Amino acid sequence: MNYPMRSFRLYMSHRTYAIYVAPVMFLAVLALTVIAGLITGMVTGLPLPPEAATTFSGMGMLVSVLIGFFISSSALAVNRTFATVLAFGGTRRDFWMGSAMGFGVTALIAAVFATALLGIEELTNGWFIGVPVFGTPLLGNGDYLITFVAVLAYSLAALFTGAAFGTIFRAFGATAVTMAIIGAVLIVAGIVAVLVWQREFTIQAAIDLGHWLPSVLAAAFALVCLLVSYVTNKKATV
Amino acid sequence: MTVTTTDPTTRSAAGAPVTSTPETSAGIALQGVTKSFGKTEVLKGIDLHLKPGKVYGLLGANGVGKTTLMSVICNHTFRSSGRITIDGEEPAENARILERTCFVHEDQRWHDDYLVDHILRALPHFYRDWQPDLAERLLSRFSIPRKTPLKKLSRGQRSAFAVCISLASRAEYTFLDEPYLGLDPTSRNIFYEELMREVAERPRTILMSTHLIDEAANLMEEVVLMRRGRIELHADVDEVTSSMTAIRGIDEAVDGFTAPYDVVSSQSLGRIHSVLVKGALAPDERARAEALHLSVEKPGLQEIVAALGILDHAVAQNLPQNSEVSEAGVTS
Amino acid sequence: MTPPAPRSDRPIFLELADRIADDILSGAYPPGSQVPSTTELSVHYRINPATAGKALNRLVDHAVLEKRRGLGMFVTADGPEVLRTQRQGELLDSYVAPLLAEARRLGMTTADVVALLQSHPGAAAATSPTHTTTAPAEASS
Repeated sequence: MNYPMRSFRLYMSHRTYAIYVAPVMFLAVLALTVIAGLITGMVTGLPLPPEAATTFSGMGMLVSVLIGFFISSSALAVNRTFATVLAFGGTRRDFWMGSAMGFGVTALIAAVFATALLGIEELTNGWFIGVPVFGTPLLGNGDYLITFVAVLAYSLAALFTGAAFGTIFRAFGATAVTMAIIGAVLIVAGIVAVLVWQREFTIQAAIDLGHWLPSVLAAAFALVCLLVSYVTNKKATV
Repeated sequence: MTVTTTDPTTRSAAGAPVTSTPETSAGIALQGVTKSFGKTEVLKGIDLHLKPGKVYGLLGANGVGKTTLMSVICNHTFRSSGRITIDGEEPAENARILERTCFVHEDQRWHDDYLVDHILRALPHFYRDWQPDLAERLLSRFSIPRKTPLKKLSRGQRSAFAVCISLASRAEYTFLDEPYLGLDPTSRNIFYEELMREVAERPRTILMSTHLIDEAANLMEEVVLMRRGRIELHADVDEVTSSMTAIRGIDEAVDGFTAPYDVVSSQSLGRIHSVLVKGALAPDERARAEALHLSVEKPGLQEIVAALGILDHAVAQNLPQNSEVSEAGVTS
Repeated sequence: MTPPAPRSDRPIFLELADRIADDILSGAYPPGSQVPSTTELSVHYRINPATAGKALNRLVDHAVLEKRRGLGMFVTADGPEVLRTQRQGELLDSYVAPLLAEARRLGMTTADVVALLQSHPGAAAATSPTHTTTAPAEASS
């Protein structure tokens, strides 16, 4: 376990990326949402009526921004940090394991932080103004476990997406990345087509999974990207 | 002295057990190593043995495969065929072997948003024998503040940072690829001085590519000369410099004297002729040269390398023994 | 600070050995004193430690230096004397022969050279057969 730890430490040495960005983004969205809630409250009165509250949840925006950030940060990490680890006498396998551990920590921090904020939100009855920032359908509608798993799964999916495409770039070049993106879109489109074709099964599965659905989809996607990055990493060169 | 290359089609299974004796397996050994990028064969069958604890100079024109050679040894890029061992073991994905190597590339990619400090904090985890004090001293001698973002480093600072890491790593096998790029003469002197201090106090294998041949000649114990993907010459520096003699004087006298010798190169300035001949002069020959008022000198390493047509294409094209057109493209 | 220049046709370690020998003869390193280590020479002249080691070992082989385990290299009691004897032997090849060759190039006879030598201000100092002025610490031998 000693060797992967070296890459892990290199990843973690930039604490802003590895640790702080997700919590800071959560707090920023929280602040913006609360301000928006207060402004709306001037009209409707506080706490906000539930119909008004649900209309301006910033969580969708947050999740997309966070996903974008994670994709770019992990793509950069596998590209640049890869070269650094090899220069310092590390192996490809240990680089992958160390970086994957690092991504795991980053995702875990995001998940723990989001769940903790959800707890505060429940305790303060929606930040004292009836605004549910973290208790949204996207994250599990206020269920702690689903929220935790959802944020973890989204983060991992984003981080490993960046890692997969970054590694494809390292191993096979820019053209291969374009091909991979086109391929990925086609595969996703194919899966959607199959799901629409088998719509009775799809609807039944969605009902069974309920609020777990986004998490399960994200986790499945993360797993695929993780495998792609692991396999491709063996072929990556400096 | 010249290392002959083996059949480049020789292939060996990577990771096959090494059966060589301990003496030959210590250090870095390459057998029939080739590397192609697409249709371009950059390394055309390299046989090389680098012994532990020696400083090697890797010389040759741009594009002959110097960087590629170092990259395949460290498995930063994959060789196409051949066998490589470090201390008897296959280095590819071998953590125990690779942790004893350090090869910061001349165009090393760094994470854009990392500071010098981020890298320095991680390095002690990579090298068991990491020298924090040496790293600190080098950074201050090269004037690189720890809080500098890596993307803001100038060419010279990038080189200096690479030198700092390479020396402080105390890696048993350290690769330096044109480590002086962008360094002014004062900084180069600091580098040479610290390099010599390190190898004197703790002998280790250094493979350093350089175009500043005369400047670095005294640092090396052995030279490895590459030409077009092959090793042209691998020998002791003293052996190389004493393998030729420079004779200078009035043209007829020089031509008459050197007639029985194997002339490697000649240059003239007015009536003065400078000629490099193979071999050393016997004492009576020396006396004969003196009688003819010819000066007899030991040529510099650079002069010899240039004469052999290895140094660069511009020089090489002026030499009779080198009629081939220089190959363009592939950077080593 | 510059490495010994490869001005002659000799390997650099011989040049370095000569330079250390010069310093011993000039009295900079009297008998029993320590000369710079391989590392110090290597760093100072920026030459490979193997080269510096060869230079020191050459002087050890000629009994000019002795190795004291764990301490370093020291000038032997008769180090300066050994060097003087050696250099006197080399005087002919290193100085007299080139001098005569140059004189011939300039159209001078051997007699002209002898006259030149005797008229040189330095000639008076060299008439004394001993070298007490250059090696004060030699009394022990």
